[in-house]
Amino acid sequence: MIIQGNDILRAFASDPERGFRMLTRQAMRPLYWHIRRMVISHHDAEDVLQETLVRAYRSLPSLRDGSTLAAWLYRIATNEALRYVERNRRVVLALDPAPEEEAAMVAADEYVDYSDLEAVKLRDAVLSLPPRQQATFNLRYFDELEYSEIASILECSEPTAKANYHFAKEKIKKYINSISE
Amino acid sequence: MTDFDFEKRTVPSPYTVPDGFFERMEERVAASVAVRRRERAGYLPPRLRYAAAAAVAALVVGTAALFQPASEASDGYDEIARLFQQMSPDDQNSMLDSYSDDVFINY
Repeated sequence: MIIQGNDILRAFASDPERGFRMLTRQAMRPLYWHIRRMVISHHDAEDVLQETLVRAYRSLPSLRDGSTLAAWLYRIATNEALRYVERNRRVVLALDPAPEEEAAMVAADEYVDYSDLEAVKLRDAVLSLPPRQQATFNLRYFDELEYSEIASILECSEPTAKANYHFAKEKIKKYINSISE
Repeated sequence: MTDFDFEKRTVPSPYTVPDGFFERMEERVAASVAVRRRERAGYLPPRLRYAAAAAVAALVVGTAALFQPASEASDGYDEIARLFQQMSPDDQNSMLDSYSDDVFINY
């Protein structure tokens, strides 16, 4: 995410509405895609994104260093998405759907391009990972963040982020192999 | 053997969004934040609410005391001063801001 953190904080200090508009314009798209990869459904991602941005607005006055703004936003988005996934998982477990029903629930979203088979296959492989490993993989693979940034977002050490990414990659390879056989 | 190598090229996500989604989202978030700001402007934290109630009570006691004999009236003013002194500087400022222009209290 390319974001002018210090400009946004300065604008926010003098005119919160203008500063927040700047933040929304610069951060909304990458945050949406990051959230979407974790919660899957467009409508759920929409709600989680809104909650993320409102939370950011509330807490922005406490942020002092604009250079940390992008990681800070990703952290809020990740936590909101993980919270949502956990809540949703409990609902799905309570409904106790059959595996094929569960797969249908995931595939039900209309805003998915099923024509790119590799993209769908990779998505399914990523979704087979535990949520925090998914977040690590997504932040590195799709958002191309440094391990130090991922560690700051997921509040873990840099070696942990690195190890998580490599484990995730291996599991994805195995998953893709297993469905290609 | 994988049929494609996701490490050699970045495979995109298959997700899409409805047309105009981001533009609508920007407006939706701005509206949500504006509502929040308006709510906050009229919001008094609970601690301050108790202080406000105490201050109003003190002012009522003080006003009533004006109509009492001098010896009793001084008790009312003492009470106002005592309550005001117990407030934090923020609460004191907030009380002054809230009630200094109140025509019913300052008639």
